[in-house]
Amino acid sequence: MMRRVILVVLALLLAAPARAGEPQPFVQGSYAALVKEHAGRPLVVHFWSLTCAPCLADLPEWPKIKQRLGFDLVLVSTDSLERGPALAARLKRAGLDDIPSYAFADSFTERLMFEVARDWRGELPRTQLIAADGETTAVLGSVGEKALRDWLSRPPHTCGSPGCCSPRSDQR
Amino acid sequence: MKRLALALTFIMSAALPAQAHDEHGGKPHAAASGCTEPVLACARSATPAFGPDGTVWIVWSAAGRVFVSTSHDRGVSFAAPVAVSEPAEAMDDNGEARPRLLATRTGTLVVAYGQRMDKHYNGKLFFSRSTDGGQSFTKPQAMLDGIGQRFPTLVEAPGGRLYAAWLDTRNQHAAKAAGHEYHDTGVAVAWSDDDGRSFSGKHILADYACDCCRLAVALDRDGLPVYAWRHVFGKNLRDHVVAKLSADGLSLPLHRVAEDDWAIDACPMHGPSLTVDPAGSWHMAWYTAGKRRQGLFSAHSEDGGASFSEPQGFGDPDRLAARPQLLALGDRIWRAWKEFDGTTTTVMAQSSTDGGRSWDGPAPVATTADASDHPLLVSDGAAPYLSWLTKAEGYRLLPLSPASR
Repeated sequence: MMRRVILVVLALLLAAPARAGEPQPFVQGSYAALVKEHAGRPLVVHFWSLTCAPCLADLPEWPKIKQRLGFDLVLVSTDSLERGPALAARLKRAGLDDIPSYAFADSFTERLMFEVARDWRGELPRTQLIAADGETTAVLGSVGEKALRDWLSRPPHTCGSPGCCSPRSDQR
Repeated sequence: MKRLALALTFIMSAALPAQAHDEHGGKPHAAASGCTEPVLACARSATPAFGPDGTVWIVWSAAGRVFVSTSHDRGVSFAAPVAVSEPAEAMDDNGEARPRLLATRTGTLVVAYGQRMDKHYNGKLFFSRSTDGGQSFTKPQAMLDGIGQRFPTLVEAPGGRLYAAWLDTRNQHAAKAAGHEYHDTGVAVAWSDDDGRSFSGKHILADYACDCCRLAVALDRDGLPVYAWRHVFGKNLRDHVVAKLSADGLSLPLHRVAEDDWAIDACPMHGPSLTVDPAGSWHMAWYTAGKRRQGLFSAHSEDGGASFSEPQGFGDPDRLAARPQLLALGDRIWRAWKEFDGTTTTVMAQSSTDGGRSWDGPAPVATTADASDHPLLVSDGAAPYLSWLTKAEGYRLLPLSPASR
C-alpha cells in the first residue's frame, strides 16, 4: 500500500509539467505548443466547461483512466480564466489538481477552437487524441477507457474504436 | 505513510511552480478575457428589444451585473446604462445563455436573466421590471425558490399576457433524490397577466430537453407561444422538437422536426431558432452533426408542427456556419448565421418570399476579426435588423435588405 502511494505520488511528480491549482492561460498558439511539447508520446487534450454537465460527470474518471493506461493528459477549460478559482475547485474535487490544466484566456474563442480543430463549433466535452506520430483523432462526448485503450494500442493511421472520428484527421 | 505522502506533496508543491514558470514564461501576451468593467465593451452578449414607440433597448451583463441601455436613433448611440441587478459572482451569459428583455405595449420593461449560484455553479433565474422608461428597475425577484434554471425566454401575446419559459432541472434533482438516473432537463412555462409584476404557472411541461442549448420561442397566429429546443431521444439522440403551449397553459405536446440522428454524450451548446410567418407556417433553423445530415438546416411546418418539410441545408460548412437565426416579417422570411474562416467572422443573411422554399443571396452583412456574440435578428414590426455585439466594433444594429440572386 505504502509503496503504491509512493509510486503514485512520484508518477504524478514526473507527469505534471504545469503548476497544480489554478489553470494556466490558454491563448493563441497554446495548442500547437502543447502538441509540440508532447511530440513522440501519446497526448490526450481534454476540453471541458463548468457549464457542461457531461463534462462534469466525466472529470472524476480521468485520473483513474490515466493511472491505469498511462498517457500525457492536459485539461483545457473553455471557461474564461477569470473562473480560475471555481475551475481549480472543480478539478481538485475530481482528483485532477495535479494534471496540467489550462483555461481559455482570449475572448475570441472561435479562433482558439479553430486552432484545435477546423470543425469544432464548441461542442463539449471534446477530446483530442494525439498519437506519438502526431496523427490526431477527435472524440465528442465521453471517451471511455475502452476507446482510449484501443487508441493507445492501435497501429499508426488506423482507428476502429466507436466514437472515433478518424480516419479523417483534424489536422486538415 | 501519511507523513511520507505529506512530505512528497510538499516537495511537489515546492518544486512545480518554478518548473511551470520556466515552461510558460509568465503572463500571456495575447488579449486576455479579463474584462471586468461594468461597460458594454466587457459584455459577451447584448440582446435587443424594440419598444412600441420604436425605441431600441438592449440588455447585457458585465462585471457580474445586468444593465439596460436605450437608443432613440436606431442603435447609433445609447444613453448611459442603468443597472438592473447588484453584482453577482458570475452571470449565466456565454452567448448561448443571455439576459432577455421585453418592452411591453404599455411601455413596461421586463428583464429575465440567469445567475450562477453556489459552488456547483448552478443557474438561477431572476426577473425585474421598469415602469419609468428604464430609469430604474425593481429589485430582481427569483422566478423559483430552488436552483437549476437556465435559458430564459420572454414574449408578449397580443392579449397582453407575457409568457416566460426556461430550461429547468427541478425534475433532475427530484430524480437524483429518488435514486433515478436523469441527466437532461425540463421545459418550464410561466405567464404574467399583470405586465410582468408576477408570474404564475411555472410548471415543467416537458422533460428530456438537452440542458446546454438555448430555448427558442415564437408566437403562433392565435397568440399562443410555440417553443423549440434540442431534445434528448432515448439515451443520447439530440434532435430538435417544437411544441405549442395549450390554451390552458398546462401542456406542451412535442413534435420532432427532423431525424438527424445526432447521438452524442456531449453538450452541443447550440440551440435552434423559430419564427411563425403571417400565413401561420412555423419555420425552424438548427445545427446538427447527426448521422443523417451535418451543418445548418431549416424546415417549415404548415400543420402546427405535425409534419415538416425536408430539411434544407444552408451556410458554408467549410467556414463553420453556425448560430442560425430566423425572422418572419411581412411576406419575407429572413435567416442569418455566422461563418468563420480562421481569422474573420462574417454574418451572412438571405431572405425568402415563397415561405422558405427558395432564398436570395446569401450576402455578408457584417464582419469582425475578434470576439463576437451570436448574431440576432430583430424587427420593429416594419423593418428587419441584424443585432450584433462584437468586441472590436461594439454594438451594431444593421438594417437588412434583400440580396440579389
